[in-house]
Amino acid sequence: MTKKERNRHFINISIGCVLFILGITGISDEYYALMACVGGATFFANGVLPFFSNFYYRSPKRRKKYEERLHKRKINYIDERKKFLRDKAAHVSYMFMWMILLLLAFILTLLKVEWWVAAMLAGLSVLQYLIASVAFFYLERKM
Amino acid sequence: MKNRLEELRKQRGIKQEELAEAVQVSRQTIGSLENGRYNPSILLAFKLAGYFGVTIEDIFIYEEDAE
Repeated sequence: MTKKERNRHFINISIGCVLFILGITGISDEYYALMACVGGATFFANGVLPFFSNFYYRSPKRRKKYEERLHKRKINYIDERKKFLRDKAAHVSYMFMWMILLLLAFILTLLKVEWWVAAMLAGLSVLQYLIASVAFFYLERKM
Repeated sequence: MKNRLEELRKQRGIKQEELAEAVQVSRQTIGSLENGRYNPSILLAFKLAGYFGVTIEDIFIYEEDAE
């Protein structure tokens, strides 16, 4: 585990503790207190689990297996074909979500649900399109 | 685009895994390249050519009709 990773885990643990303590003692509203506790527990678990994992993989036999797994993960991350496939999958997912949001907004309008629900869904599809366009123009200028 | 990757690899008695490790890609990518399902970037093409000690043109054969 590198120093940078260790620091990141300590930050997660600290945020987790602060949120959890805040949830137990600092927030009077039960709903928000529970939210803070759950958020705190998540951060805490995120920070603590890597230390256990690091401890578990200390033995040389496990260490070798672990390093192989890390190496495989790194290769899969930098592999250009997999990067290309990930980008393609993201594009398919983007198109799919865009259509689903618009379709859902239309169906909900037909079902006469409250106007803001349908408007929010339609707004989300527009926002998704705008973010994609801005990202595209930014990337095009950079390249 | 056709390629002679499998031929060159087998000539040298190298496994897909070893070639993949040498050029820092996954074994599946080598498989896809050999089957012609995936065309590599110029960077990967240079890495492969460098590994086999040949030119890119010796491995990859560009066919205009295939585009």
